[in-house]
Amino acid sequence: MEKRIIPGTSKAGNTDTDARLDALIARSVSRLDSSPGLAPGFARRTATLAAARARREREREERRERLMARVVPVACVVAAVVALVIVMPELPGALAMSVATPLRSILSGMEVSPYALRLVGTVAVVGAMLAGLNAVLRRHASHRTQGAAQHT
Amino acid sequence: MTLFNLTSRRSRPRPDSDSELLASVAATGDTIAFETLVEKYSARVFALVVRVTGSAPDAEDITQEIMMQVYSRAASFTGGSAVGTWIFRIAYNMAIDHERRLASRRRRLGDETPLTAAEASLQTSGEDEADPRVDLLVEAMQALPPDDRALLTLYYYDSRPVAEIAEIMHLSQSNVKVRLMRLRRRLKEAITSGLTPQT
Repeated sequence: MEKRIIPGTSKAGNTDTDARLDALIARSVSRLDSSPGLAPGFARRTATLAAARARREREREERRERLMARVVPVACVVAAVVALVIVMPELPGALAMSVATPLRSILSGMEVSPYALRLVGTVAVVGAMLAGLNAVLRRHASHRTQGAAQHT
Repeated sequence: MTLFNLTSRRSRPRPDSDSELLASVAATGDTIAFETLVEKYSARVFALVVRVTGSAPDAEDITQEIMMQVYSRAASFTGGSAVGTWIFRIAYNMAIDHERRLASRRRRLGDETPLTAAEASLQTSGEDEADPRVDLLVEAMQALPPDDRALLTLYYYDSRPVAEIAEIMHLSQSNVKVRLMRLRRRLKEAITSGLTPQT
């Protein structure tokens, strides 16, 4: 073993006794492991695993980005609707009336006002958006569950 | 087709230095360059990890995880140190983390008698049976905390300079020297007290 000066062993560097102790420690450290070492083909296996894991992570990242691209606009719309309702608390009531009034008109055989129809259309669009968001979130949850199942 | 691809990749001129290999891994995910790095470092990383954890199967798993971290973090290598030092720093951190987690699990389960590196090796190794001092030293090393065993391995087994050890273990150079000196003194005392007949 290469003779190296260990600080604090002696003022003039390693004495013969110190060098012998170093050699003994080195032998003892070597003896701390008597296993045959790594299995043959370790490097190849590790490289393959690392590449596969990197590919999986890349795919997961891409999926997440695609999902975000879908969810963010929908979330913005929902947030806008919620904000609108907060700012204009009478809006839900007006919308309900816009559904009830034409229904009542139809049932009673009266003419339906175009304004009421527009409001009904708005309700339908908002409803469709919420249903779409729900579907996207459900699909995301299902993907995550499948991914977790595959991982385990 | 696959065989052809593999052959043509293997016949490509290989980058020589470790930093070039790592740069190739970071840039293109080059598995052949990575395999070269694993071949070069895995045995020494395993030697460190097995001495910290005391279990060869665990050490093999951890070594694999370390090398996979090297692959995924290749892009974050800044060149501030040698590639070997960087890999050993990851190895040291992961081995010590593993030991801490294990110790905390043992505490939770109420088991305070871990199987240490020295115990594990004593079960099979009989190489130095003729020298009782080595047995005493091995026994003393088994009582050391994992980071001290790592320090001894890096200095005595891997023959790394103090400056590199300091970088790997996040210590100052003077701190490494002081710890080495104390360890040495402690191991010397272990031999002296072990060889002195008890009255």
